[in-house]
Amino acid sequence: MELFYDNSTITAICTAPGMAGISIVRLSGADAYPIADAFCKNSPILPSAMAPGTFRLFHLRDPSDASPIDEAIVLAFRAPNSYTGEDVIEFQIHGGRISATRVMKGLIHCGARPAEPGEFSKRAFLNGRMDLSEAEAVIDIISAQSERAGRAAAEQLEGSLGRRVNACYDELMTICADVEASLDFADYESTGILEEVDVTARISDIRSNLEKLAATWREGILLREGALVVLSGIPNSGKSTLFNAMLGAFRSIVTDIPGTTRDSIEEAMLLNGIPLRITDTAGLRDSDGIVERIGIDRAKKLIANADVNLRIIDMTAEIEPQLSWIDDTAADPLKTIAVLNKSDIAPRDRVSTLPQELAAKDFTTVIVSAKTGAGIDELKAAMTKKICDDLPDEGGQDVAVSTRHHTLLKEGIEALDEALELYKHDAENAAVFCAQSLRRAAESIGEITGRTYSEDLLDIIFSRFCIGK
Amino acid sequence: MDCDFEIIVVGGGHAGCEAALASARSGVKTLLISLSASDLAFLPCNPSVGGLAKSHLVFELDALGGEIARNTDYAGLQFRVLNTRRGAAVHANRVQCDKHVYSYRMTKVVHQTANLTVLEDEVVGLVLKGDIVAGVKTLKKGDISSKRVIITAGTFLRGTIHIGDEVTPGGGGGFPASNLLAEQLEKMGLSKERLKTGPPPRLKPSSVDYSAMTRQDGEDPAPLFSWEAGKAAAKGEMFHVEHFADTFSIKSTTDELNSVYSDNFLPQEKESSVNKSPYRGHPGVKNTPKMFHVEHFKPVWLPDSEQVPCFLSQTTPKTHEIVRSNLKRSALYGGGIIGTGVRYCPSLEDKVVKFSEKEHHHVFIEPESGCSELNLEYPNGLSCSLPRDVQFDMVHSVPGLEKAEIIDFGYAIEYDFYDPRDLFPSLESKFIHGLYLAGQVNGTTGYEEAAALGFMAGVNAARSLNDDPPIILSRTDAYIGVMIDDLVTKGTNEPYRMFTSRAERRLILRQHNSRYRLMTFSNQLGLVNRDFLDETKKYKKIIDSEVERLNQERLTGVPLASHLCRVGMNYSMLPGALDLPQEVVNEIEIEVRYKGYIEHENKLAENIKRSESTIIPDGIDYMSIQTIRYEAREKLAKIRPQNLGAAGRIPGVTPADVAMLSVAVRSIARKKF
Repeated sequence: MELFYDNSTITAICTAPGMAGISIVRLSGADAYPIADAFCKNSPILPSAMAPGTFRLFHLRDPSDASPIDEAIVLAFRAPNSYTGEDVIEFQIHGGRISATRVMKGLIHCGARPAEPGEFSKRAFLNGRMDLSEAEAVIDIISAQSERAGRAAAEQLEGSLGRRVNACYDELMTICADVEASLDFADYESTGILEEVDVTARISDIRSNLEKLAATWREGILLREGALVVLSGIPNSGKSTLFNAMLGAFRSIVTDIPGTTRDSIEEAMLLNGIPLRITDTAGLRDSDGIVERIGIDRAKKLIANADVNLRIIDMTAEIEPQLSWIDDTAADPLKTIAVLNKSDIAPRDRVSTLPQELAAKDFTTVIVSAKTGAGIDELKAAMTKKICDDLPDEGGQDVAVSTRHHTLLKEGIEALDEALELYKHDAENAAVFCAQSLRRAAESIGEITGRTYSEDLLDIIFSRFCIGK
Repeated sequence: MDCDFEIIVVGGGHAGCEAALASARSGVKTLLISLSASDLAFLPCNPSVGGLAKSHLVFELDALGGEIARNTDYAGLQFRVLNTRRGAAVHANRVQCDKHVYSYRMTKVVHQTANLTVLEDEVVGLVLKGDIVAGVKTLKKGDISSKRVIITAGTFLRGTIHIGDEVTPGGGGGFPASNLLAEQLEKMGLSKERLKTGPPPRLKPSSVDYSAMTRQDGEDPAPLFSWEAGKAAAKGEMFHVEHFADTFSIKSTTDELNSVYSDNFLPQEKESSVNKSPYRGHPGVKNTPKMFHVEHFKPVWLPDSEQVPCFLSQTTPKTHEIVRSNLKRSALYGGGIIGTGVRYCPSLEDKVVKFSEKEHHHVFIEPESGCSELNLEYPNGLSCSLPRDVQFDMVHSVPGLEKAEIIDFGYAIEYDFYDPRDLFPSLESKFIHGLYLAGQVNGTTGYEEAAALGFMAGVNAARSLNDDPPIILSRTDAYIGVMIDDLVTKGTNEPYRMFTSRAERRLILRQHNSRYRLMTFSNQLGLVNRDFLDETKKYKKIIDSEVERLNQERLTGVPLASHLCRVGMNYSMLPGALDLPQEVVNEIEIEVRYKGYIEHENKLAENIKRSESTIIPDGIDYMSIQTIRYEAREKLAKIRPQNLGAAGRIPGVTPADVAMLSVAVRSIARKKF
């Protein structure tokens, strides 16, 4: 509620949604420089050391685990000479929303908060950086945006996710009611209506549910671990060649972080700003006996968890058995791309008729030659589409909404941690402070579902306890 | 404009007395009109003051210059601090008062106050000039002119009393309802709703078997609300009515009791009606003293003597069966009552219906007077609107009350209240200039809530006479601020009671720091004892500098503040500790120990303050701001919040709406210049 009129530092992706060459993440507010410095702490030069109105190349890393994000051109502006009239830093990174979202998340991690719809423009107006006619245009934009954001939030909250958030909120409010009742109805201390309850176990339960919820954000997993791409195919279908072709065509991430334990057959790379983990099931199939069975189980597991399954089909071999694999491994056809390989040596008619034969299937087909590199760009496009389709709907506002939800969940978890810590160390006075922490948690979660603490609390107290003389 | 009075207060309850006193003490010629000039500040329900959050209101009023704190301390029978195990922010005092003494003392104070006249009459309407108030119409004295009118009519506006199917018009205490005034207010466009409240039957103490109950004692020494009573108690002086400045001052001790009766000490009576003691007509009370003193009647409780205990019993399955089988005959469930009741104070019918699985509900047996001749027991928990014969059986089914004699039957009272969203935060009506409303007519419940609203209305009405801006306490200043903001921005659909959970910044709104956090306002209003203010300023300085020192100075490399946070440590054990009163030491320790939390709260409080610093121009036409959602525009247009912070707290107004509003407000400001 206090968000609309403060000078706290805000961040958002400012470029239009969709795949473009460049994405811009803007950071604006009183603490823009300290936050940017914290975010770029691994860089030889910090944004605050830059002269106003200049730019510079940065190699951005995630401040929490130092994993590389992207290269960025960083532009430094100082108040009042900026778009908003505040201190502003802009990060220009490669197109695609994943890098941009990671930058935004990093900035939030360092203390910024997601901007409300149209908030940059609003600040620009409030700081006298716009005249009235411009401002009126801005009002229209804000209006349209907030409606879109509201719709997106409502859509996301329908269905199971909404139910789960609401369930957490309801249980949290019950705890709040118990704690608040014990404070506000102290006349009953001696009557035993309000038993001395240990709420720590209940708080821990909610906390773990919120953690699970936060983890359901597909985006979160993708950003943290990269999208999992699983390669499979019969021996000699060209997996290794394709693997190498992709390594050549995509920008490979050189992991120089000590102690990273990655599967030897897993390779990390960046596709249009999306971090990928590419793994190959091939090596596991070569042995027989026990190892073979373990290998099949492992492959099935990988395929089930994959964000994209690349099924390499050798067009020079018999097609049907190669396709039955999808049923055998229970791979999700919607996440599967059939990569029809060896277009350079396969019979012409097969290359031209096969895609039509497969058109009715649920999976996507792409014709490539791993050897010549033909069709690799189409494959990249198809992979990008698969991964992004799976993310919450493309579109600037939706990014903000989902990031916002994630931030709110994290805030809620943090507040619950605080409550738990209080109970551990300050039992005597815990209730009153714990109540404040719980309230903050409930306010954060309530903001996701659009419910208000103060209005819900008394209803719950009075329906739960027969309080009153 | 020559007026009979500058301010007229309509109603002599808790809101009315505070309003009239605040106004008169501000130097404004004030008239208080009450149906009874001798029974002011009557306590129709349980005569207890304080409790969670309500205690905070009382402390805040004491810091600002209200009367309720002193009056409670001087009329108390049993004093307790609740929540002592829970941390300072939620400590709360609760005092069981002698209802006769309470009313008598307040009546006395009001009658003794300069600039304040009391009239026993009924107000039947307002005198209006257009949409400006110009006085009141009374039943006996006709029209009386004034510049401002404060309505504190409590439950009297179209009051209806229900006992089973008996329905009697009335405002409680045997007085008639004020229907004519209610009709006029409604015609003027004030939107009205019905609320309901009501006390339990009253019992004769000698018929109660206390041995079957759990005893609850008060605390010794008695925890007091008011600074003045505290000073007197600290000096070992007798508890007595001692009001500063314009009223009487009688120094007495127990030994000097006789001198109290000496006429030489008595102030001049201003109104003959005061001679009617609240004790009049009661058997066993022969000498009606002119001067109030708690020790006038024996046996009566004296400070430092044993406090009067309360007792605890409970209802039985039989009680519930009696209620259940007679539900149709209760006014509440039989359809007689439409008003919404207090959820915190549910009637027995409600408890039995809504919590049918419970076999027992608590019944607190609380005394109404320390004078055994006058005392009746108040069985707190048995309020109902059942017919008399059912109340009879119901009471007798409670352990210890098997033979209880019912002196007065319980009843439910329904009354009109006016949507507080029609008020500015100053409590002035948005429709009628110069008209203020305070107390239960605003939809609140409780003596403390009423007193706080009355005080603020009195202060603001008086200030408006000189065109001084109203005093608006914010949500971060005081519980009073939280309450008024809730009422004027959100309204209420049930009797509004204060809870600590309503205050977002509970940790900085503690009862014992009221005097410090409200110091600026106390200074500005000038309604408190000069010594109190000087002492507050002095202590505030000491607290600030000591907290600062403890954070700076180190012992074995660690700040003193960190030492103080360790278990078992206290301020006096630290090097350089000053010899300070315990209440000051407490504040220092709290500030240091909860520094992290308090800083966090302060930061949030700053945010609220900032959003409240953007004032929305008075004449803004919300409906013309097309960019705000229609639903939000309607709400804004109705409530007309005064700043962006308040706008954001209106239910149904989203942060996006407020963002649009802030841009619109800025556009208007730009267009002007």
